[in-house]
Amino acid sequence: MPALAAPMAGRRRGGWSLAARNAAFGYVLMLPSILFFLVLIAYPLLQTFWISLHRMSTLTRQGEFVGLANYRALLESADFWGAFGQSLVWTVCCLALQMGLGIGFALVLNARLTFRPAARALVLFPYLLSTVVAVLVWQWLFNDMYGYLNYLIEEYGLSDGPVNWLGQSPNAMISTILVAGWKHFPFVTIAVLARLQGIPPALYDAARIDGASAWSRFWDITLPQLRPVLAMVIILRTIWDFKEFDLIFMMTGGGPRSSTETLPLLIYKEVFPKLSMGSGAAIAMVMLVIMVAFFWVYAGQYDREERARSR
Amino acid sequence: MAAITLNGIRKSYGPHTVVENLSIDVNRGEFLTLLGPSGCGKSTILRMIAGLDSPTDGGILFDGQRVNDVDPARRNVAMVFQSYALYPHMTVRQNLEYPLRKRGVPKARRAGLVDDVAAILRIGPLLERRSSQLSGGQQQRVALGRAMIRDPAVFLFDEPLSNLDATLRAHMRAEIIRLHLRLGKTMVYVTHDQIEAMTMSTRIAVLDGGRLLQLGTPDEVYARPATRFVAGFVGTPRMNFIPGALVQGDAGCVFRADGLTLDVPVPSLAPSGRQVVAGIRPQDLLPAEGGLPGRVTLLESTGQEVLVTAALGSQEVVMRLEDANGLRVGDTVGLAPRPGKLHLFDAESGERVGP
Repeated sequence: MPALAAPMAGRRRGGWSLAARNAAFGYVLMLPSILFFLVLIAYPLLQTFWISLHRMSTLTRQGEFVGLANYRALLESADFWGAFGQSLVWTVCCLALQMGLGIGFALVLNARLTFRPAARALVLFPYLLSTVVAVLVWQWLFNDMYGYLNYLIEEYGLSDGPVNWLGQSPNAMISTILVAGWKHFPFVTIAVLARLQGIPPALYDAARIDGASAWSRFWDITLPQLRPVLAMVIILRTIWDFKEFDLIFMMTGGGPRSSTETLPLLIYKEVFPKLSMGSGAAIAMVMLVIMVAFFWVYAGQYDREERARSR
Repeated sequence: MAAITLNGIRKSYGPHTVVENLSIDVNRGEFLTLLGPSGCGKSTILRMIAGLDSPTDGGILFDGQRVNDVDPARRNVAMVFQSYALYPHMTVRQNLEYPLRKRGVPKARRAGLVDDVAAILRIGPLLERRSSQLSGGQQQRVALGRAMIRDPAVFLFDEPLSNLDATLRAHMRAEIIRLHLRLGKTMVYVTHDQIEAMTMSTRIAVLDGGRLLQLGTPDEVYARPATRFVAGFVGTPRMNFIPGALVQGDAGCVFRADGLTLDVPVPSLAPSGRQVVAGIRPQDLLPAEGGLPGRVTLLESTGQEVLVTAALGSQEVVMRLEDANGLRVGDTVGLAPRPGKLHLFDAESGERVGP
């Protein structure tokens, strides 16, 4: 028998232990992410905060340090509170509409349909469409002079005169919410559908034998099984709806008379037409705080429930 | 308790027929096993009895009443699934209560029933655990409990033990047999495992390709398999098959195969020259002076028995002995079937020939 090769006893490269070398390698792998985080997230965030403490022109980016004056002005401004309220209405209504449509369509598409593959592709369509194109199409549909919706309404005698879809409050907000609901519900559908297909069919068989009606089966099996994905979708959609800019901006520009002006549009108005970069930055910081607070409360709530269930 | 009648059941999915003209009477309180390889239609039959699938043709009767159009919830059946199908987001207690809740049983009575079932199945300490946190065996017990709790007329089992390891499977097998003795309910059990079928059943229905091949007690199915398929499917180690023909010998009919003459008297009613396959179970093949010469090619000892594989002409056969008696690979041993234990099947149809 040949002698076994002697192990490389005590030969540590650079005198480092194996664990230390593994750890060092781990840090090296993390370095790019840390760098990206610092350059692309931490730095702009700190800079925005720094700008919000100045009275600064957008053009010169020069200005004096004013401390929290921009924040104080915000809290006293009717524009801010108006936009805040509109943001709330916008986010809640958009979310409700998107969740309702999204779950509804997912349930339909999960059923055995003849045209299921085609229907699945079609349902993605609004989500894939560029916002500019979608807005142009909807503006044409909504047009009070030659829009197709008003044509239909008159054709079927549903209203006395043409409806002013976008030029009147609260119509403008409602119309824009409808478009946002239509545009973004496919995201919810896709996420929910993926989960629905992962629910074992035997659970439904068992429930049928146990005496559960179709409604009970949805309530007792489908919905609890969807909970984790719904929690994720709600968080993402809330964040995205809350900071929605392009769709509202192109649809109504915030009007009529600021009735669809949400916080992102107010930031734009402060920073560009008004050239007041400092107060725009202050609104952005307030938005950030609101989102973080929402995230905190919501994630905490979900966590507590999950822990209570698993006990 | 209910008697189940399957009357000329056919089930097709488009052009594909899964179950063909099946008629079985399941007696009250009987433990009937549907045994067959995967894809033989046994689970589909069970699902039709449960009401989860509808037959394309034919009638399903419970105690003489046609139930084809009766909702699963109203058939008073309970089913145990291969995957257990426990509601993963509910606790064990909630799982057990679910069928009661859906039937409007009041809360106090529900609690009492849960305690009874938990005591029988010894799952009391698990009641407040979430079902997804249980081991396979524990989940299986809870699934049994959920089936028992509403005292159904019929229990249906869809390969309930196939996800368990061997020890646990043997244990749960005994548990289900005890449950049947205790409750005396009609039970229909689907499995591809012939050991389960043999040990648990009152009667076994052997299926292949959607057709019923044999319906009988475990002993009947084992001792007188109706077809070559049944003979090969039931019994471990598998029955030895030797293709050959029935020819006229000096003293009546003999079986002759490929250079071998199995000089065994077979019933004279078998027609001469007919192509047949002879089947001999490994324990019915004995070493004998002057038997057919077999060369030993493999010895497998399990401690309590020895499986001897021997080449017999161009055939390999397996013999089950209590003791190798000094046999070694390469030895030649004389082989003879135990008298009266030779099975003959038609080479074409696979049907049993003779008594």
